[in-house]
Amino acid sequence: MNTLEKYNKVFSESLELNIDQLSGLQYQGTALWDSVGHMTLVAAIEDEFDIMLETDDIIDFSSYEKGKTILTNSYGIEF
Amino acid sequence: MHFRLAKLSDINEIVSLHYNVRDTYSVGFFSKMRKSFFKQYYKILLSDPNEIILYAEDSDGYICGFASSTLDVEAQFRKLRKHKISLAIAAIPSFILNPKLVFEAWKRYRSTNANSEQKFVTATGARGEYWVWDKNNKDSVWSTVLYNKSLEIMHLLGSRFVRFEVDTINSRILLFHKRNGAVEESKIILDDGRERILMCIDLDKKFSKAKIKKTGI
Repeated sequence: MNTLEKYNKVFSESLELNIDQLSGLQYQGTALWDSVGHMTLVAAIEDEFDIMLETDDIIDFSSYEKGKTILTNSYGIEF
Repeated sequence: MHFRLAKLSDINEIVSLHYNVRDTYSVGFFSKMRKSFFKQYYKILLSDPNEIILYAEDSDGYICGFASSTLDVEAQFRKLRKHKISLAIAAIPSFILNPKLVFEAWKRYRSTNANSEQKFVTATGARGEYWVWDKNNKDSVWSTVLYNKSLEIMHLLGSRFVRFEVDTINSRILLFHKRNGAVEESKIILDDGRERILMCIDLDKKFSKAKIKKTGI
Protein backbone atom coordinates (compact mmCIF):
# COMPACT_ATOMS: atom_id res chain seq x y z
CA MET A 1 0.00 0.00 0.00
CA ASN A 2 1.55 3.35 -0.97
CA THR A 3 1.44 6.53 1.12
CA LEU A 4 -1.62 7.98 -0.58
CA GLU A 5 -3.53 4.72 -0.19
CA LYS A 6 -2.65 4.65 3.52
CA TYR A 7 -3.73 8.27 3.92
CA ASN A 8 -7.00 7.63 2.12
CA LYS A 9 -7.65 4.51 4.16
CA VAL A 10 -7.21 6.39 7.44
CA PHE A 11 -9.51 9.16 6.26
CA SER A 12 -12.20 6.89 4.90
CA GLU A 13 -12.19 4.59 7.94
CA SER A 14 -12.13 7.40 10.51
CA LEU A 15 -14.84 9.47 8.84
CA GLU A 16 -16.79 6.56 7.34
CA LEU A 17 -16.58 7.90 3.80
CA ASN A 18 -15.76 6.38 0.43
CA ILE A 19 -12.42 7.26 -1.14
CA ASP A 20 -14.16 9.23 -3.89
CA GLN A 21 -15.69 11.53 -1.26
CA LEU A 22 -12.36 12.68 0.15
CA SER A 23 -11.16 15.18 -2.43
CA GLY A 24 -12.03 18.72 -1.32
CA LEU A 25 -13.26 17.52 2.06
CA GLN A 26 -12.95 20.09 4.83
CA TYR A 27 -13.22 20.05 8.62
CA GLN A 28 -16.90 19.96 9.57
CA GLY A 29 -17.73 19.20 5.96
CA THR A 30 -19.18 15.83 6.88
CA ALA A 31 -21.11 14.60 9.90
CA LEU A 32 -18.27 12.66 11.50
CA TRP A 33 -15.57 15.28 10.99
CA ASP A 34 -16.46 17.28 14.06
CA SER A 35 -14.11 17.82 16.99
CA VAL A 36 -14.42 14.19 18.15
CA GLY A 37 -13.87 12.98 14.60
CA HIS A 38 -10.87 15.28 14.29
CA MET A 39 -9.29 13.77 17.41
CA THR A 40 -9.85 10.29 16.05
CA LEU A 41 -8.51 11.21 12.64
CA VAL A 42 -5.38 12.84 14.07
CA ALA A 43 -4.73 9.86 16.34
CA ALA A 44 -5.21 7.46 13.42
CA ILE A 45 -2.83 9.43 11.18
CA GLU A 46 -0.21 9.54 13.94
CA ASP A 47 -0.56 5.81 14.38
CA GLU A 48 -0.50 4.98 10.68
CA PHE A 49 2.56 7.11 9.87
CA ASP A 50 4.25 6.74 13.26
CA ILE A 51 4.51 10.48 13.73
CA MET A 52 3.69 13.03 16.42
CA LEU A 53 1.76 15.98 15.04
CA GLU A 54 2.62 19.33 16.57
CA THR A 55 -0.17 21.41 18.07
CA ASP A 56 -0.10 23.95 15.25
CA ASP A 57 -0.43 21.18 12.70
CA ILE A 58 -3.37 19.57 14.50
CA ILE A 59 -5.18 22.89 14.45
CA ASP A 60 -4.18 23.68 10.84
CA PHE A 61 -5.27 20.24 9.62
CA SER A 62 -8.45 21.71 8.19
CA SER A 63 -8.96 19.71 5.04
CA TYR A 64 -8.01 16.51 3.24
CA GLU A 65 -5.61 18.42 0.99
CA LYS A 66 -4.17 20.55 3.80
CA GLY A 67 -3.38 17.37 5.71
CA LYS A 68 -1.28 16.07 2.83
CA THR A 69 0.60 19.37 2.65
CA ILE A 70 1.32 19.27 6.39
CA LEU A 71 2.54 15.68 6.28
CA THR A 72 4.80 16.42 3.32
CA ASN A 73 6.19 19.79 4.39
CA SER A 74 6.61 19.15 8.09
CA TYR A 75 7.12 15.41 8.45
CA GLY A 76 8.81 14.49 5.19
CA ILE A 77 6.04 12.16 4.05
CA GLU A 78 5.88 12.15 0.28
CA PHE A 79 2.66 11.40 -1.61
CA MET B 1 -5.75 29.33 23.07
CA HIS B 2 -3.28 28.50 25.80
CA PHE B 3 -3.04 25.97 28.58
CA ARG B 4 -2.28 26.33 32.24
CA LEU B 5 -2.55 24.33 35.42
CA ALA B 6 -5.67 25.02 37.44
CA LYS B 7 -5.42 26.59 40.88
CA LEU B 8 -7.88 26.75 43.73
CA SER B 9 -8.89 30.20 42.47
CA ASP B 10 -10.28 28.49 39.34
CA ILE B 11 -12.70 26.33 41.28
CA ASN B 12 -15.88 28.12 40.18
CA GLU B 13 -15.03 27.71 36.50
CA ILE B 14 -14.16 24.03 36.95
CA VAL B 15 -17.38 23.40 38.82
CA SER B 16 -19.42 25.17 36.18
CA LEU B 17 -17.85 23.26 33.31
CA HIS B 18 -18.21 19.89 34.99
CA TYR B 19 -21.73 20.63 36.20
CA ASN B 20 -22.84 21.58 32.68
CA VAL B 21 -21.73 18.25 31.27
CA ARG B 22 -25.23 17.03 32.17
CA ASP B 23 -26.58 19.11 29.27
CA THR B 24 -25.03 16.62 26.87
CA TYR B 25 -24.44 13.55 29.06
CA SER B 26 -27.05 13.10 31.71
CA VAL B 27 -26.31 9.65 33.09
CA GLY B 28 -24.22 8.66 36.07
CA PHE B 29 -23.72 9.80 39.64
CA PHE B 30 -22.04 13.13 38.94
CA SER B 31 -24.80 14.22 36.58
CA LYS B 32 -27.24 14.07 39.49
CA MET B 33 -25.19 15.97 42.05
CA ARG B 34 -25.66 19.65 42.79
CA LYS B 35 -22.99 22.33 42.57
CA SER B 36 -22.23 22.36 46.31
CA PHE B 37 -20.95 18.80 46.02
CA PHE B 38 -18.79 19.59 42.99
CA LYS B 39 -17.31 22.56 44.79
CA GLN B 40 -16.26 20.53 47.80
CA TYR B 41 -15.03 17.68 45.62
CA TYR B 42 -12.78 19.98 43.57
CA LYS B 43 -11.66 21.85 46.65
CA ILE B 44 -10.27 18.56 47.92
CA LEU B 45 -8.76 17.57 44.57
CA LEU B 46 -7.12 20.93 44.00
CA SER B 47 -5.36 20.62 47.34
CA ASP B 48 -4.07 17.15 46.43
CA PRO B 49 -0.42 17.31 45.32
CA ASN B 50 -0.98 14.41 42.92
CA GLU B 51 -3.83 16.07 41.10
CA ILE B 52 -3.23 17.67 37.70
CA ILE B 53 -5.96 19.76 36.16
CA LEU B 54 -4.99 21.31 32.87
CA TYR B 55 -7.05 24.22 31.62
CA ALA B 56 -7.61 25.55 28.13
CA GLU B 57 -8.12 29.29 28.20
CA ASP B 58 -8.84 31.52 25.21
CA SER B 59 -7.34 34.94 24.54
CA ASP B 60 -10.16 36.62 26.50
CA GLY B 61 -9.35 34.57 29.59
CA TYR B 62 -12.42 32.41 29.11
CA ILE B 63 -12.04 28.81 30.32
CA CYS B 64 -13.04 26.51 27.47
CA GLY B 65 -12.29 23.11 28.94
CA PHE B 66 -10.14 21.05 31.25
CA ALA B 67 -8.60 17.63 31.57
CA SER B 68 -8.05 16.25 35.05
CA SER B 69 -5.95 13.36 36.21
CA THR B 70 -4.14 12.05 39.23
CA LEU B 71 -0.66 10.60 39.51
CA ASP B 72 -1.83 8.34 42.35
CA VAL B 73 -5.46 7.34 42.55
CA GLU B 74 -4.97 5.34 45.77
CA ALA B 75 -3.67 8.45 47.54
CA GLN B 76 -6.58 10.39 46.09
CA PHE B 77 -9.08 7.87 47.42
CA ARG B 78 -7.47 8.08 50.86
CA LYS B 79 -7.78 11.85 50.71
CA LEU B 80 -11.43 11.72 49.64
CA ARG B 81 -12.19 9.24 52.44
CA LYS B 82 -10.49 11.57 54.93
CA HIS B 83 -12.87 14.32 53.84
CA LYS B 84 -15.99 12.15 53.81
CA ILE B 85 -17.84 14.34 56.31
CA SER B 86 -17.37 17.56 54.36
CA LEU B 87 -18.30 15.74 51.15
CA ALA B 88 -21.43 14.32 52.78
CA ILE B 89 -22.46 17.75 54.04
CA ALA B 90 -21.87 19.25 50.60
CA ALA B 91 -24.02 16.49 49.12
CA ILE B 92 -27.04 17.20 51.34
CA PRO B 93 -28.83 19.45 48.79
CA SER B 94 -28.43 16.68 46.21
CA PHE B 95 -29.74 14.07 48.67
CA ILE B 96 -32.78 16.20 49.53
CA LEU B 97 -33.71 16.52 45.87
CA ASN B 98 -33.00 12.85 45.15
CA PRO B 99 -32.83 10.62 48.26
CA LYS B 100 -31.73 7.61 46.19
CA LEU B 101 -28.39 9.33 45.81
CA VAL B 102 -27.58 8.56 49.44
CA PHE B 103 -27.24 4.90 48.53
CA GLU B 104 -25.30 5.74 45.38
CA ALA B 105 -22.89 7.93 47.35
CA TRP B 106 -22.47 5.23 50.00
CA LYS B 107 -21.56 2.64 47.35
CA ARG B 108 -19.00 4.98 45.84
CA TYR B 109 -17.56 5.76 49.24
CA ARG B 110 -17.18 2.04 49.95
CA SER B 111 -15.56 1.49 46.55
CA THR B 112 -12.71 3.84 47.50
CA ASN B 113 -11.61 1.33 50.13
CA ALA B 114 -8.55 -0.53 48.87
CA ASN B 115 -10.16 -3.86 49.78
CA SER B 116 -13.50 -3.18 48.14
CA GLU B 117 -14.56 -5.62 45.45
CA GLN B 118 -16.94 -3.17 43.79
CA LYS B 119 -15.12 -0.70 41.59
CA PHE B 120 -16.52 2.11 39.49
CA VAL B 121 -13.20 3.41 38.28
CA THR B 122 -9.55 2.47 38.05
CA ALA B 123 -8.22 2.02 41.57
CA THR B 124 -4.44 1.88 41.22
CA GLY B 125 -1.69 4.01 39.74
CA ALA B 126 -2.15 7.07 37.59
CA ARG B 127 -5.69 7.75 36.46
CA GLY B 128 -7.20 9.98 33.81
CA GLU B 129 -10.36 11.48 35.28
CA TYR B 130 -12.45 14.03 33.45
CA TRP B 131 -12.08 15.59 30.07
CA VAL B 132 -14.56 18.40 29.66
CA TRP B 133 -15.11 20.96 26.92
CA ASP B 134 -17.65 23.76 26.88
CA LYS B 135 -20.27 22.71 24.33
CA ASN B 136 -20.79 26.34 23.32
CA ASN B 137 -17.16 26.92 22.48
CA LYS B 138 -16.45 26.81 18.76
CA ASP B 139 -12.77 25.94 19.11
CA SER B 140 -13.49 22.40 20.22
CA VAL B 141 -10.74 21.08 17.98
CA TRP B 142 -8.43 22.24 20.78
CA SER B 143 -9.92 19.64 23.09
CA THR B 144 -7.73 16.96 21.48
CA VAL B 145 -4.65 19.03 22.05
CA LEU B 146 -5.71 19.66 25.63
CA TYR B 147 -6.16 15.96 26.30
CA ASN B 148 -2.85 14.92 24.80
CA LYS B 149 -1.04 17.75 26.60
CA SER B 150 -2.38 16.44 29.89
CA LEU B 151 -1.04 12.99 29.00
CA GLU B 152 2.29 14.54 28.12
CA ILE B 153 2.45 16.20 31.53
CA MET B 154 1.66 12.88 33.21
CA HIS B 155 4.48 11.31 31.22
CA LEU B 156 6.93 14.07 32.09
CA LEU B 157 6.06 13.60 35.74
CA GLY B 158 6.94 9.93 35.60
CA SER B 159 3.72 8.08 34.82
CA ARG B 160 4.22 5.39 32.24
CA PHE B 161 0.75 3.89 32.32
CA VAL B 162 -2.41 5.94 32.72
CA ARG B 163 -5.68 4.15 33.28
CA PHE B 164 -9.15 5.57 32.77
CA GLU B 165 -12.71 4.55 32.04
CA VAL B 166 -15.02 5.05 29.08
CA ASP B 167 -18.66 4.02 28.99
CA THR B 168 -19.46 2.14 25.80
CA ILE B 169 -22.40 4.49 25.25
CA ASN B 170 -19.70 7.03 24.29
CA SER B 171 -18.79 4.96 21.27
CA ARG B 172 -16.97 7.72 19.40
CA ILE B 173 -14.90 8.67 22.44
CA LEU B 174 -14.07 4.99 22.91
CA LEU B 175 -12.92 4.81 19.29
CA PHE B 176 -10.78 7.91 19.77
CA HIS B 177 -9.02 6.42 22.78
CA LYS B 178 -8.31 3.21 20.88
CA ARG B 179 -6.89 5.19 17.97
CA ASN B 180 -4.91 7.27 20.45
CA GLY B 181 -3.14 4.14 21.65
CA ALA B 182 -5.17 3.03 24.65
CA VAL B 183 -6.10 -0.62 25.09
CA GLU B 184 -9.00 -2.26 26.87
CA GLU B 185 -8.02 -3.96 30.12
CA SER B 186 -11.36 -5.03 31.52
CA LYS B 187 -15.03 -4.33 31.52
CA ILE B 188 -17.54 -3.69 34.29
CA ILE B 189 -21.29 -3.41 34.26
CA LEU B 190 -22.60 -0.61 36.44
CA ASP B 191 -25.76 -0.91 38.49
CA ASP B 192 -27.70 1.17 35.99
CA GLY B 193 -26.72 -1.25 33.23
CA ARG B 194 -24.04 0.86 31.65
CA GLU B 195 -21.09 -1.03 30.27
CA ARG B 196 -17.80 0.57 31.26
CA ILE B 197 -14.45 -0.19 29.70
CA LEU B 198 -11.33 0.19 31.83
CA MET B 199 -8.56 1.31 29.52
CA CYS B 200 -4.83 1.84 29.77
CA ILE B 201 -2.45 3.90 27.69
CA ASP B 202 1.29 3.32 27.62
CA LEU B 203 2.78 6.81 27.58
CA ASP B 204 6.29 5.59 26.76
CA LYS B 205 4.85 4.17 23.59
CA LYS B 206 2.61 7.16 22.92
CA PHE B 207 5.43 9.66 23.25
CA SER B 208 8.14 7.44 21.88
CA LYS B 209 11.26 9.30 20.83
CA ALA B 210 11.43 6.98 17.84
CA LYS B 211 8.38 8.64 16.31
CA ILE B 212 8.96 11.10 13.51
CA LYS B 213 8.70 14.63 14.84
CA LYS B 214 8.23 17.80 12.85
CA THR B 215 11.23 18.21 10.59
CA GLY B 216 11.21 21.99 10.42
CA ILE B 217 11.58 21.90 6.64
